[in-house]
Amino acid sequence: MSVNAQVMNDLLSERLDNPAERTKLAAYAGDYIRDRLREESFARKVIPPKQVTKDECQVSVNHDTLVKIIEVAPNSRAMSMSFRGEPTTRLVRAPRAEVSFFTISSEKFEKPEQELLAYQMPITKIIEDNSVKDIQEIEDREFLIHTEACIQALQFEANGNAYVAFNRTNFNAGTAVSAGVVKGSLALAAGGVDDFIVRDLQRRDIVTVRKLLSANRLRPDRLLMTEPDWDTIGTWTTEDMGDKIESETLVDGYTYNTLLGLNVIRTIKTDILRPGNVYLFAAPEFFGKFFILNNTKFYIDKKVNIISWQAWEDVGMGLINIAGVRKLELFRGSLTTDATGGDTNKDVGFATAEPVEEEVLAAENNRVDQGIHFPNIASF
Amino acid sequence: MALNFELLSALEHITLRNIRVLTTDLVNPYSAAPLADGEWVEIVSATDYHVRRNAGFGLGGAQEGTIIPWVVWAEKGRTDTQAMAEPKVPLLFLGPYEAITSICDTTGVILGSLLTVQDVTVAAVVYRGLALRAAGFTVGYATRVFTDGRIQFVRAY
Repeated sequence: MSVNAQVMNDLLSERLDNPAERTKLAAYAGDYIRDRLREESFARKVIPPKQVTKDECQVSVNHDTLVKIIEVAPNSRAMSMSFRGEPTTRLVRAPRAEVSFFTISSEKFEKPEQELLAYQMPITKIIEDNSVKDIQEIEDREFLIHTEACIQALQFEANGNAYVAFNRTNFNAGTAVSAGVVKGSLALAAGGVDDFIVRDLQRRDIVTVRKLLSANRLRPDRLLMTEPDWDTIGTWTTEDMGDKIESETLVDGYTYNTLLGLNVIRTIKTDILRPGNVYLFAAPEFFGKFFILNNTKFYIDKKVNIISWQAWEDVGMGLINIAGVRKLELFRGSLTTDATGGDTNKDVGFATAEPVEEEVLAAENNRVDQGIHFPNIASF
Repeated sequence: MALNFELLSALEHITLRNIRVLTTDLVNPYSAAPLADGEWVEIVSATDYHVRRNAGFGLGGAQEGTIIPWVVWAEKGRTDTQAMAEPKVPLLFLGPYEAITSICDTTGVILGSLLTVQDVTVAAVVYRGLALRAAGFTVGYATRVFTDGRIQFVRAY
């Protein structure tokens, strides 16, 4: 149902006078300009979240936080032997890891009810809807930083427990080993500096990163990339795609959701997953867990004439098997951390290839408040 | 584990803030010096919005100078602070309150003493806690001094 937005704003302030009516209003109109596209979480597509209850969690004797303990499959092996042999003994044990919960919240919004009436659009409803997506943006950012930590851990181990800058120069010189991450074939081309210019995705790049996973007895399952990287598939030729797909792509774009047998997850959140970073995941059961302790809750209240509202959720992410993810970098520079988690191993310009700060995610595209829109009418 | 910091005022009058820690070892209970509840931290600089202990922590116990410190309201080892990709700690940020802390040095403290933040040693561990103000930033006033080494105080800002 769509109702006049101002009527809804009026209704909101009236209904909030009655404590029993302090519930969200479902109907809204849509006659306003959006600042940006808000997209659902890509982390939830890599690891579908599972609802848990407090009964499935453990608590500490020292404080009031909860964790869910995850068990990892026990190791085992077989052996060949003669008729008179006897197998070695293994005392069975399985590793366990804790997944802890934390809160992701919207801002706390406040507005005098009189000023709410000045808006034609259902501003509270829009913010409520956007808050859910805003919360999922933070989910994605958290997930991505944890995922990158897995990549860095794989690199650290493969490079002799040392933080070696993984850039084109070191890789071509053989001083940096590729275990968690590979460079794109165009990024490895000779000449130039170790920069963060994003090269086009090549078909062979996907094969290269696939092999990192499959060489560890893990089956590649889903590929995460940005829309701009995905768009470069449009430059692939008949040699890459064959005549049929190339013809389709020229007319409709590449419309399939799979690429080389991988499920592709695309995102337009290029300030979180920066172009040039492509992650390849094993199936969730080989990688990690995403738990929801409390689904998104929405609180709205009115004290005298001030209406306030807030949304939040409680989630836990655990990337248990770090070998379940690998990465393809389409740029030459290094994003390798150093021993203190700092930036000394990173090449100049690295910030353009890493997720932006949380606060920066709220940056506006439009410049209406600065008077920049066209034609710029001056009303007096 | 006993609480080091006990809030005696209602939360509804206090504004809480979660701010990123400068180094993740501050929230790791197995690190050399994790933050405890009742410790005081400061923002690193005007251009670096992380919290840390005073830059001179453990090097002689300088009193807090001109930078406003805030008390950490999270017990050591809480898993919610560690679960975030960029760990944050909850701070009692704005609004006066009354509390009892054991992260303190009662030397010279009497009723009404001005309190500041400096290095204090409690059970052989160095923390950033309350002590009698000689100079520097006043964070509160003592309202009670316990014989077991705790201080009850009112925060001044």
